[in-house]
Amino acid sequence: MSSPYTTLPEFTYYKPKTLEEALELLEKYGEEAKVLAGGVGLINFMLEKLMSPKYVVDIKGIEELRGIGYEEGKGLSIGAATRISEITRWLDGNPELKRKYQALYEALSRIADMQIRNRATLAGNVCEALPYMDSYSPLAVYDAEVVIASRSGERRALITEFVQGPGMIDLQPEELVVRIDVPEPPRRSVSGFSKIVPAIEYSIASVSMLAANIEDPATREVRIAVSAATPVPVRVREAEDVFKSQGDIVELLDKALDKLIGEIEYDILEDPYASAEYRKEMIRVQAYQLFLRLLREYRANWG
Amino acid sequence: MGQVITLKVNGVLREVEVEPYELLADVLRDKLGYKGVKKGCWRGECGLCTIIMNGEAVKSCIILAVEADGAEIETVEGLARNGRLSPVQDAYVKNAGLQCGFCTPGFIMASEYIVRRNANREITPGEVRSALSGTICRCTGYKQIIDSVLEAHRRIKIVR
Ligand SMILES: Cc1cc2nc3c(=O)[nH]c(=O)nc-3n(C[C@H](O)[C@H](O)[C@H](O)COP(=O)(O)OP(=O)(O)OC[C@H]3O[C@@H](n4cnc5c(N)ncnc54)[C@H](O)[C@@H]3O)c2cc1C
Ligand code: FES
Ligand code: FES
Repeated sequence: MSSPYTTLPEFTYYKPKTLEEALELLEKYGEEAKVLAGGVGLINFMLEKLMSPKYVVDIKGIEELRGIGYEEGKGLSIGAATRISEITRWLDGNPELKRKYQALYEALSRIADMQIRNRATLAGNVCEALPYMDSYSPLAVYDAEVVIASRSGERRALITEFVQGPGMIDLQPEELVVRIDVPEPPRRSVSGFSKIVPAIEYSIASVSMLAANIEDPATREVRIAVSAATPVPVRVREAEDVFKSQGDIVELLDKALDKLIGEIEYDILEDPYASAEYRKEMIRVQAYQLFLRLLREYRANWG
Repeated sequence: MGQVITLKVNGVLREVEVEPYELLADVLRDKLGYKGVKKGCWRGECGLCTIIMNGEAVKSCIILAVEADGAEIETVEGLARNGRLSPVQDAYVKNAGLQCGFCTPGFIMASEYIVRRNANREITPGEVRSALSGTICRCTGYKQIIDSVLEAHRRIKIVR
């Protein structure tokens, strides 16, 4: 053999055809097993010997985990074995839904690169749980829920509760994420995503926003989700409530951002890529730019 | 615990015995002889190991060989027909889309995929640039590469 031949730690590979079978394997092997979806994260972790599962359970053969559904009023439901590029293509084919889930669409279209999006899954991105996962801020802005199954049944967790810290998620070894449910956004809403990627591949600060009924303080709703700058994705309700008051909307944004940053100040990450101070500034700058863009889009769509 | 997998590589059925911990890029290169599958980073970053698998451009260094059982795979070796380069390969030659050539098979496969997927629509230089953002060249500076893809796309559209 002429070129360096890479080997992973040894393991046994399973490719179950049904959810039942997969859950049985996870129950049987517990901590010794790892789920393989797109493998983009898992294989890298195994190459770096950060993970060395004895059993690898590939979920791509499970038909019921594939595909995307939408029900008016309920929202999107994205199977755990659905590739990221399948989701963006599906939204490309449904312009109405693409507009409704614009922040999610923008974030997914910018994850990694074309080849990786053809392989990686949304659920895998969510489960990888590094702070910079691009799916986090849009999922938080739509109040998305992670649907989790085990042999003893199904449960759901809000994305902001599911992600507990770098590499930590609310998932037991015998559990499997089966899909991500993204509820219907409010009527007359616009949304968008923004991230800052310096000379590394990963965002150092991401912001997703959603705005509905902007002209009427009584029914107005503005949501702001931050990720990558913080260990876990965050929403700050008191900051969002600022928009329920009367007054100039840009001044309200100012106040809301003060509240938001005040609340998360001590959690903001600091590492060789960016200082906490810089990240804080980048949350503010992006929130402004994004909000001004959403105001324009709102007027064009609903004004 | 070896397992025999079946791959259809460039239209030819190949059977090969692999261990679960072997990567598709290594198996294609070293067990099956498709040396056009380059390895630059071993970790999904450089795109030099790009192949088209079941119609999708993917990075074969972060795929287990066992995951590919039953798959249809295209590598750069399969593009030329009867000694004639494919439109994408030809455009790379005409536009000097390569220098040392080490990244070229990866770029050609990624470009082939971009051109096919967009065969029925216009594409902008910006779209080509972002579609190639996961494929790295240390020599050309990319301009000639983008020009090559745009030219191949124009030619394919005319042929259709
Ligand atoms: C070069 C490169 C660039 C990248 N750039 C970006 C970027 O810009 N933005 C970004 O957000 N990410 C980026 N990533 C990370 C990448 O997006 C994630 O690794 C990928 O989304 C993970 O999805 P997957 O389907 O491949 O998961 P896998 O690798 O299969 O799994 C990841 C982890 O989640 C677990 N898991 C997966 N699915 C389930 C499930 N259904 N139930 C329970 N556990 C599960 C696995 O056991 C594993 O621990 C990049 C990665 C690389 C290699
Ligand atoms: S060798 Fe596969 S992406 Fe670099
Ligand atoms: S031509 Fe040398 S690396 Fe691209």
